Amino acid sequence: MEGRVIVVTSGKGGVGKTTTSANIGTALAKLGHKVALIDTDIGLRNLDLLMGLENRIVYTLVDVVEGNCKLKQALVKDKKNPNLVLLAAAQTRDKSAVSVEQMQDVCKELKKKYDFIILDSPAGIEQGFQNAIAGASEAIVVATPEMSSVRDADRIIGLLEAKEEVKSYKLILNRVRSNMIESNDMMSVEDVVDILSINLLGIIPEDTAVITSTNKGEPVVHDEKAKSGQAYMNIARRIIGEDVPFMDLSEPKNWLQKIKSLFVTKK
Amino acid sequence: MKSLLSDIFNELKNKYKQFLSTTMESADSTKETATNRLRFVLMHDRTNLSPETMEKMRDELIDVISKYVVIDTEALDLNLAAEGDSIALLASIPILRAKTKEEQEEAILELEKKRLAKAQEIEEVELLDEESDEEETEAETNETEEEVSAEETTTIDEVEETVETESKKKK
Repeated sequence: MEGRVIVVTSGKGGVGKTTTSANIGTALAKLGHKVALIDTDIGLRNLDLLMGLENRIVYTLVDVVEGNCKLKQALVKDKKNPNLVLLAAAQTRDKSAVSVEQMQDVCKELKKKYDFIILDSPAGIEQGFQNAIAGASEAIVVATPEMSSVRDADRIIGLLEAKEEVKSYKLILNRVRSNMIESNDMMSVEDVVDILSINLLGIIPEDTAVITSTNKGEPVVHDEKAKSGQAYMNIARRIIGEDVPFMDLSEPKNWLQKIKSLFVTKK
Repeated sequence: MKSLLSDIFNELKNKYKQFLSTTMESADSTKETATNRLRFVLMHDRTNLSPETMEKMRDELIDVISKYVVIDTEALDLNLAAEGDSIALLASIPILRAKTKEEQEEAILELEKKRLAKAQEIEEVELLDEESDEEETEAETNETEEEVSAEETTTIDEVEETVETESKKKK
């Protein structure tokens, strides 16, 4: 059976595409699947950093499409999991270095040997984004519960809808702050899902463990105590078809909040 | 004793009210604003309708409806509304009264006049664009612009007169 090509995209930058790509890829590999991660953000590569593989990159995606090396040579094995490989982006080139057709060819080749190919897309809706979605048949849209992020996600969803090759697209809501949602100072998961009318794949809580794990170059999904890590693992399970309920992110209340909640009925 | 008790009771009541009001306030805080603003901007993004286009549409809508009824143009409300995946154009148009047959005819004539004036204006602008290199024409432009604005500010009575004369001409 051929592998599934999934693009992780968002429109807006800084909402957690690369973190999501790294963690979903790692989680799927942990579940025993063969996974290839591709960083398509040419010129602004970061996936290697998040995976802690920055010192092992010899060849890049651009080297592969230009024929400087074989595809196999450019695939860097993960430190912990032999099922997981990374194809890094070139740092010294720009988005025009890879064409849509070349991207499709690379995906086609990788599909034969890997169960999942995860494409980390660059921000924006220009050439880089078009390249990233070229080989994909599924998409994950990452957004945070902020207006600008949701607006850009809506734009991306519109573009994905227009792409016949993309059969399904789902939302990951990242950096959710349950305490702010409870005090009505942040859009809730339901609000965003309703506004975008899109299926929800997962919710990731705002978590300092994401930052500390990035510092170490180890995706947070390795940290079994971290809520965000658990959330990413749940997402990976949903991707392979398991029915995993959404996590309850609400934090334990202190006594004052408990008394308040007795008096206030939700609208 | 009694008054002291009631004082304490009142004090407690006020505290409780304060407590409730602070918690209730948060119910319609920034989140509501964010979702509403977002819904609004997304509807325009999705339909690709700019506020200028909406304004134009609104004006033309007023023109057409005013042929038959007197409406409250100030209170007229034209908005986009989303229901699920589809987007609708919702208009709320308060009617003051229906127009009489004569008024209707008058309004139609007036509208026709407006349209002619507009067409003429466009023609003039096009003509002037072609000759805009010469300084002399620039001076002329100013004159004609003044004329146009003078025409625009004619009172209703004057318009009625002109409409009458026009209809006479037609006869």
